[in-house]
Amino acid sequence: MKIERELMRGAAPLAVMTLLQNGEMYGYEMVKTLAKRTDGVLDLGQSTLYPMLYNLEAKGLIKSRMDKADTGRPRKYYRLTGKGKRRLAKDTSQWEALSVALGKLGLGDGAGAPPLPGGAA
Amino acid sequence: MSESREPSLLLRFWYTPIRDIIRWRVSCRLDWRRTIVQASIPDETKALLTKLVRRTRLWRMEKADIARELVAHFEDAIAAGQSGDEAVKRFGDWSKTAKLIRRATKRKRNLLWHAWRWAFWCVVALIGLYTAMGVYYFTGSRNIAVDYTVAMNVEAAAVPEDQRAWPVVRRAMLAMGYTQPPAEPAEGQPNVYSLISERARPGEDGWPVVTAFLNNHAGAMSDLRRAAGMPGLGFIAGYETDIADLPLFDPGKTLQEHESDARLLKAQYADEPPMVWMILLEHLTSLRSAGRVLSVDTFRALDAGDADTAYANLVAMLGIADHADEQNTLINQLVTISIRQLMYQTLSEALAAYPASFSSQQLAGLAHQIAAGRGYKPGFDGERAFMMDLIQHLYTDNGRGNGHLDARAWRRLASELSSFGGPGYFGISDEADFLPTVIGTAVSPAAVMVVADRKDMTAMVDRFYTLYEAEVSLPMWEHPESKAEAELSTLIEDSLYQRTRYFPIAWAMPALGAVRKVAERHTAYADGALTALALELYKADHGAYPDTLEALVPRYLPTMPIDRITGGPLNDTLKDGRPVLYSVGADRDDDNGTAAYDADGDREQDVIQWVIGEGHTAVDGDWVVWPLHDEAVDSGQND
Repeated sequence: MKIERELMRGAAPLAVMTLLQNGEMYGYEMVKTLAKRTDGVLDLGQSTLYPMLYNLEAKGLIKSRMDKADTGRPRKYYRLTGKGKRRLAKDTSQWEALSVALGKLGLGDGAGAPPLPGGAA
Repeated sequence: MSESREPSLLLRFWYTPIRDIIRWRVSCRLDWRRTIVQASIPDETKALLTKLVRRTRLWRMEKADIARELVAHFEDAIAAGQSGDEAVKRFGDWSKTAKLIRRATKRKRNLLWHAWRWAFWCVVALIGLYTAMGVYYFTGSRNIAVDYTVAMNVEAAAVPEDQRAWPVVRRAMLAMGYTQPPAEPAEGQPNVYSLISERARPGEDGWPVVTAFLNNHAGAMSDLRRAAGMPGLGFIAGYETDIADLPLFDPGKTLQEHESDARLLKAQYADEPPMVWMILLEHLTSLRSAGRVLSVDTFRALDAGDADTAYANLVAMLGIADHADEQNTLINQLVTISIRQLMYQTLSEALAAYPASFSSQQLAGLAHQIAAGRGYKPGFDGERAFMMDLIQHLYTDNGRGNGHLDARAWRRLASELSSFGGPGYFGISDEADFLPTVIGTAVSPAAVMVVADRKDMTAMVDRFYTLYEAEVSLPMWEHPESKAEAELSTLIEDSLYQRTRYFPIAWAMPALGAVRKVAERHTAYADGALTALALELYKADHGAYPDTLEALVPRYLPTMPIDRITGGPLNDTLKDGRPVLYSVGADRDDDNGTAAYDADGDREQDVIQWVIGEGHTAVDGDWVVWPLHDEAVDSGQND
C-alpha cells in the first residue's frame, strides 16, 4: 500500500524517531527495518530518508556519529537526543489522539465510535 | 569509472582539514570524489553518488561526510544482494535528494554562518531596494506648470494703461533726482535726500535746503499727489528691470549693459523660468521715498499756511500706500503699512505743531481716508506662491499631484541662491557647494526615504499658511500665541527627522507669526489717529476736548477705540493740553500715558507685548498710540 506524500510527511519523522528510541541505527538499517516492520507501508524512499535525517539533526532531535561497522566499513549512526525524546513523546500522544478521534468517526476498528448520523445503521 | 590516481601532495593538503594538518596528518579525507571512486560499489552507483554529491554544492567537509554515508548505504545495499541498477533505482530521484540534502545540511550550520547569511541577504535586499529607489529617483521630470508672476501681477495688469500711476510716479521721482541711489550732492552741499529721509522739520538746520528743493519741484510733487489718486499703480513686476525704469532703478547702467544682462538672464533660464522670489520689486523703494517726500512737504505747506496742499499730501500718502499693495507679497504689504504709519505720524506732528490749521471738513476727510484702511491685514497669498513655486522647482511632477525631490534641481537652486546672497544666505550651508557631484548623486536616492513627497510637502505648506491666514484676523488679546508659529518651530527645531523631511519649509519658510503683531500695531495707530481726529473735531464744535472718550461716540467715532493689548477701552489723558491716547502696555498697568521708551530709551516694541516670556519681566510703561513717535513708524520693519 502506498501512503500519500502529505500523510507520509508527518508520519515519517515520527516513525524514524520511534525506531531510534530503542538505540542507534544507520540509514540503510532504518530503511530496511521500517519496510519490514510495517509490511512495506512505511517503505521510505531512500532519497527521502537522508534529507529527513539531516533535518531532524538540524532541529537537534537526533545526533549522529561516524563509526566503523563490524564489516570495517564506516557508518553514520543516529540516536535520539533528549529533545528528540520529548518531541517523540509529544508527537506520539498527538498521533494517538488523532487515531482515537478517527476511530470514533468509524475509521479503523471503530472501537468506541458512536453511530454516524443517518449512517450505516 | 576508472580508479583515481594518487593525488599530488598539494591536492592532499587541499583536501585535508586544518585540524588534521595541525596534528601532522595529511588525511585527505575531504576528497569526496576519491571516497566514492575507492568504494567497493558498482560504477552506476558511483556515478549517481558523484552527481548527487556535486549537485549539493556544499562545503568540502559536508560533501565528504555525505559521500561517506551514502557510499556505506550502497555498500550495504549491494551486500544485501541488490545489483547496481537495482540499488540506483531503489534510491530514487538523486537530483531532488541533492536539493533536499543541501537545504537540510545548511540548516545544520552554526549560528554565525546563519547570521552572516542573513546579513548578506539583507545587504543584497538593501542594495536592491536602493537601486529601485535610485531608478525611481532619477526618473520623472519637473514641470514648471504655474507662472506665479502672472498671478502676482493680475491687479497691476488690470489697470488700463492710461490710468496707471506708475509712469507718473516714475516721472516725478526722476524729476526730483530720486534715483536708486539718489544723486550725490555737490561737494560741501547738504544732501537733501538724506534730510528728507531723516524727516527734516521747519526750523532745523537743513530746512531751507529742503524747502528750496520742494519749491523747485512743485510740479513733481503735484504729479505725486495726482498719481496717488489714480485707480491703480500698474507696475508689472518681473525678473529684469523694464527699460523705461532703468534711469530710475539703475541710472549708472547703459542700455547696452542692460541688454547684455537681459541676454544673460534669458540664457541662464532658458530651460525654465526663475523662481518667483527672484522677482524685482524695486518700485517699493521709490514708493517709500515718495511717502517721505510727501510727509516733509506737508510741513513745508503748513509752514507756508497752505493747509489744502498739506491735506492733499496726507491723503496722497495713503494713496501711495495703497499702490504699494498692488502685488500680494508680504514685502509689498509691509511697505503699505509703513507708509500708512508715516502718514499717521505726520498727521500727529502736524496737529501738534500747527493746531487749527485744518478745517473741520479736512479733519473729517482725513478721518474717512484713514478709516477706510484701518483694519488692513496682510495676506499670505504671495508667500504661499513663493513656497508653491519652490515646490514646483524642486519636485518632479507625476501628473497626479505628486512627485519626488529632484536633487539636481536642489543643488542648482542652492548654488544660485548661494551666489545670490553668499554662502549661508537663506540658511544654505557651504557644504551644498562643496558636496562632490558623485557623492551627491549616490546619496540622492536616500532622499526618497527621508524627504516628504510633493503631495505631503504641499499639504504641509498649505496647512501653515491656512493657519497664518486664520490667525492674522484674530485679535491678539484673544489669541496671543501663534499656533502656526509654534507648530513651525516644533517642526524645524525639535526633530532632526522632521527638519530633514520638510527641509524646504525649514529652509525657506519664514516664521510669520510676527505679521499679525504688525497688523495689530497698525490698527492701534490707525485707531489713535482716528480718535485724535475725532477729538479735534469735537474741540472745534465744543471749544474744548471732552472729559471722556465715550463722549465721541457715536457722532465723532462709530465705536469706542480699543486697547489692543487688553481688549478693553483705549485710555486717554491730556498732557500739555494735548490728548495722549494709550494702551496700558505689556505690564497691563496704567501709567497715565507715560511711555517707557520716553523715560529710559527702551524700545517701543518691548512695551507692545502680548506674551511675556518665562523668566522675563514686562517693561513698565504705556504704549502710546497718539501722539506718534518716530519709532512707531518703523515698528514692524524689525519683526
